[in-house]
Amino acid sequence: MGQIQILPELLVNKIAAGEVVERPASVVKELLENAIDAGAGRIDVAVEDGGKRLIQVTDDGAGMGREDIALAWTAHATSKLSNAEDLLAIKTMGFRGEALASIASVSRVRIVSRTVDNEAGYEVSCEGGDSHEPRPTAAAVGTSVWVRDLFFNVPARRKFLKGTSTETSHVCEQLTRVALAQSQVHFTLSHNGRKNLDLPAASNLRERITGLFGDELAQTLIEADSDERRIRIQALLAPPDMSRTSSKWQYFFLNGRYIRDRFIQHAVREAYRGLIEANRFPVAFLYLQMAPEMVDVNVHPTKIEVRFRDSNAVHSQVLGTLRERFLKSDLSSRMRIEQGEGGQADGEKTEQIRRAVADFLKASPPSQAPLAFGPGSGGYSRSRHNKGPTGQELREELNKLFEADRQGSSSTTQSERLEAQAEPTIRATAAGAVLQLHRMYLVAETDDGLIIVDQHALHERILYEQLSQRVGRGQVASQQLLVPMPVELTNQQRAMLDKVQEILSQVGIELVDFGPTAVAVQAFPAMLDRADPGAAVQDIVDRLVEMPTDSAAEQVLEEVLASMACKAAVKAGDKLSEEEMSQLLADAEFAERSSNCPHGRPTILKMSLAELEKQFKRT
Amino acid sequence: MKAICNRASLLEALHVTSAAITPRTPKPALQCVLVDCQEEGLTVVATDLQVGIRYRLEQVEVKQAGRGLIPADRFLAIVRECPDDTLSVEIGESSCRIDTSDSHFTLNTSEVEGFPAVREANGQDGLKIKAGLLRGMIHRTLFAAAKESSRYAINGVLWAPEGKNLMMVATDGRRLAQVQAELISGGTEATAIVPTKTMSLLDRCLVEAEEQVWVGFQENRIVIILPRVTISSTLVEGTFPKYNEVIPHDNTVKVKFKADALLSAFRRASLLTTENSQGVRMQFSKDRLVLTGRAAETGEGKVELGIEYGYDDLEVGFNPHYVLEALRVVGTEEISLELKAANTPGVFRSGDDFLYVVMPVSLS
Repeated sequence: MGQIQILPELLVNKIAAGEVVERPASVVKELLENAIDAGAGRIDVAVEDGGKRLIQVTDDGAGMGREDIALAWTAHATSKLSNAEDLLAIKTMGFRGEALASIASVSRVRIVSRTVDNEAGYEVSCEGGDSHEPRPTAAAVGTSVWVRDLFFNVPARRKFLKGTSTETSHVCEQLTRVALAQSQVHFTLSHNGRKNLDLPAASNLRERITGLFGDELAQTLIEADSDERRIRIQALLAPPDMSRTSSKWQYFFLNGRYIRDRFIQHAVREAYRGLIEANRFPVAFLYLQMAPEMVDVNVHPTKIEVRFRDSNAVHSQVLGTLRERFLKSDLSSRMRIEQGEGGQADGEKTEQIRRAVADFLKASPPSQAPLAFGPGSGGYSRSRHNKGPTGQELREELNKLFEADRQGSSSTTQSERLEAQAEPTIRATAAGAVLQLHRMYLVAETDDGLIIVDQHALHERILYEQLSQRVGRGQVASQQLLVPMPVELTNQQRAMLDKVQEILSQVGIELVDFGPTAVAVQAFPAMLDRADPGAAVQDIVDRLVEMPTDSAAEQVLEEVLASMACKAAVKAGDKLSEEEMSQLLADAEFAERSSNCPHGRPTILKMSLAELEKQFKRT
Repeated sequence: MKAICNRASLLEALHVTSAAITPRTPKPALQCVLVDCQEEGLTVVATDLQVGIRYRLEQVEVKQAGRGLIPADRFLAIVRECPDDTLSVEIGESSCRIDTSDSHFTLNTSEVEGFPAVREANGQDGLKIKAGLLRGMIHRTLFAAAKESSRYAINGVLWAPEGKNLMMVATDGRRLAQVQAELISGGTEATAIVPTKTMSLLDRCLVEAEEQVWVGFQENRIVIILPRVTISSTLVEGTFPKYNEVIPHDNTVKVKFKADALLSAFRRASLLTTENSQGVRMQFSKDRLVLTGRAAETGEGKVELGIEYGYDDLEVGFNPHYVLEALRVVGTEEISLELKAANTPGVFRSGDDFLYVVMPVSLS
C-alpha cells in the first residue's frame, strides 16, 4: 500500500479551519457575512465569555429550506457560486463554502432556519463534525446559528485563545468592520447577556459612525468622493487634529468588504503628510467600489487581503481624491475648552433640544421658510434678501436631501452646506485688529469668531509652500555669498551630501568642497535672507542623516524645504509689526494647507462665536 | 538733588540716552536713567551693560547736588508732554518729583547702588575725527552689517585706522560696504568691531558736523568722547572676514550712472517684486540698460536707462534691496558699477572713499 492517503473529510475541514477560524472573532465574521449574504435587515450577535463559550448570530434574512440546511456542513457547498466564471465576478461576502464546515469541525454548532415560504423551520446540529438529519422546529424567518465551545476538540488551539476581554474586543472589532460596511443593517451585540451595542439601521455612513465612535468624531468628518477610471471612492476623513497613535482607526472597504491594503494605507498617509505629526495616524473611513473583475478577492481565506489589477491606479486615485478635498477644506484645528460640569449638562441639554427640533422638522417639513437666527445679524438679513424658498420648494428640497441620505449615496449636499459655513475665514477685520500675545501668538477676529495663530508655525508653513512652489517651477533665485560659509561634517554626513547635492542645488544651495571634513556654502536661496546659510545647511545635514538611506528624492526635498522654512521663519519671541502680522495672515489665505506646519503641528486654532457664546453661557 | 532744566535739551538727552536701554530687561535698574547732578552740571546716564552713554546737559540751574535713578520711559513721557520751557527735577530718598507750571509728578525711584558705572577713557592715545565725517561713514556702512547673524563678528562694523586714515567695513555675508575718511589725528592702528547698536547710538549723538570726536580703544572696549557725550561700549569679539579678499580687482566692465537716475530705475523695477522674489535683472547692451523685476504672484516691471556702454552684452541679477540701500546713502551725484560676468560680484564705487560689493543672484 502506498504511503499517500486521501485525508478524511473531517480532517480536511479541521485543517481548513486553521486558516479560516482563528478565534471567536473569526467565527463572528463568517457568520455575519453569511447573514449579510442572506439579505438580513437586522443581525443580533450574542457572545458569552468572549465568544469562547458561545457565539450566537441571529438574522432575519432569507433562511434555508430543508435541502439547503442539510448541506450546511458539507465543505465547498455554497449558494453563492456555481461555476468558475462566477469566481471572477464575486458580489457576495462569502463564496468559498468553507466557513460553516470549518467552524462545525472545531465546535458544537446548531442552526435553526426558516424561509418565508415555509410554515416551520428546520434545525440541524453538529458536534465536532458529527451531524444528524434536519429536524422540523418552530422558528422565525431567518437563520440563527449557535457556536458553542470553540476548539473543544482542538486543545492546542483552545490554549492559544486570549482572555475574555481581549477576545471580546476582537469580536467588537469584527462587528465594527461589518457594521461600517453595511450601514443599512441593524446590528446589536450583547456579551454575557448585557447589550453592548445597538446600531439601528443608519440612513448614511455618518450616522453609523456616530453610533460606533460617537458624535464628536462623526461631526468633524469631511466627506470626499470621486468616480474615475471605474473606481468609485467615498471617503469620510477626520481632520488632522483628530489623529490617533495607531492606524487602527483606518477602515478601508472594498465593495462592501473590510480589507487591509498597503497601497491604500500608504495613499492615505501621503494625503495627510505635512498635516499631522510623523508618529500620528489619521482617522479615515474609505469605501472603494469597482467592478469585481478589477480585483482578486480570492487571495486569502479570510478575504482580508485583496489583489488589485492596477494597484497604482487605486493608489493615485485615493491620494488624488483626498488631497483635492483637503486643499478645498479648512483644516484649522478647533479650540477645545474644557467645560465645567455645569457646562457639560448645559451642552447635553442644548444637544437634546437640537435633536428634538431636528426630529420635528424631519417629521413635518415646515411650510414657511424659517428665520435663521444666527449669531449676529447675518442670518436674518440673508433670508430677507434672498426672499427664502417657498414651503413647497423647501419640502421638495428637504425630501431630496433625506432621500439622498437614505440611499447612502455620495451626495454630500447636507454636509457640504455645513462646511460652506465653516470655509476659511482668516480674513482679519477691516480694522486689521491683530494682536500679538507673548511674542508667540497672533489673535485675530474673523467673520464668525476668532483665530489664534502660532506665528512661527504659520510662517514656516507659508515659506514652505512658497519655496516648494518655486522649486516646482524651477524659479529659485540663488544669492551668492561673499565668503563661502564652512560647515563641518562627519564622514557619514559627507557621504550623504554627495548623494543629495543635486536636490540642494535645485533649491538654490550651492556647496563646494572645503577640506576633507567640511563643505562651504557658496550660494543660498535669495528669499531666505533672514536665515544664516551656514547654520541652515548644518541643520539640513543633521536632518537628512536621520532619514532612511533609501528615501525617495521627493522626501529628501521635502525635508530640505521644511528645514529651510523652519530656519527662515519668524521665531517665537520675535516682535512683529502690524504690517508683518497682517501680511502673515493675508499670506495664510493663499497658502495651501495653511492649517498645519510642515511637521504637522497645527498653525491656527479657531473658535466660533457660537462656541464662545456657549462657553459664556449666553445661549 | 534739585535742578531746573531746559525742557528741550533734557528731552534731547533722554531721547539719545534711552536708545541705549534694552526694553524689557529683567533688571529694573537698567530700565532707568541715572540722573547725576553736580555743581558743574547735570548728566544723564543709561546702559544695557554692553554699551553705556553719559550725556551732559547744558542749560541747567543746579539748586542742590545729588543723584537718583528714574524710570526712563516715564521720565521721557513726562518731559515730552511738558508744555513749559523749563521744568524742575527733584530727587529725594525714594522718590523723584517733577514739577512744571501746572503739573506735578512723583515717581518712585530705584536704588542707585545697583546701577553699573559707565567707564571713562583711561587717558590713552586715541583718534580724532570730525563728527560730520564720522556720521557719513556710519550711514554708508551700518546698513550693510548683519542683524542677528550667528557669526557674531559680522554683527558690527569694523573700524580699521591706518595712519591718518580711518576705514570702516560692514558685511552681512551677501554684500559688503567699505568707506574711508581722513582723521584729524591718528594714534592707533588697532582694528575693532563695534556693535551695530553702539554705531546707531553714536550716530544719534553726531549732530554738529564740525565738532571733534575722540575715539580710544582699550581692553576690548571702545570709548568715544564728544563735547557733551561719552559712549563706552564692549567690542564684538571674533575675526572679521578678510574683506580685502572679497573685493574683486579684475572687473573690467565699468559703467557710470547718475546715482539718482539709477536709484529711481531700480526702485521702479522692483515695484512688482515681492519680499521673496527673484531679484532685479540688469541687461546691458550697447548704450542701454534694461532693468527687469518680476514675481510670479504680481507680474513684471521693466525700466530702460540710457547709459554709456561699449562692452559685450552682459546680464546680471541683484537683490534690489541691496542695491537700493546703497544708492540711498552714497551722497554723490555719480556712481560707477564694475562688473565682469553674469555670476560674479558687482562693485559700486562713489567718489574715492566708498566701495560696495554686492553678490549676484542667479536668475533662472
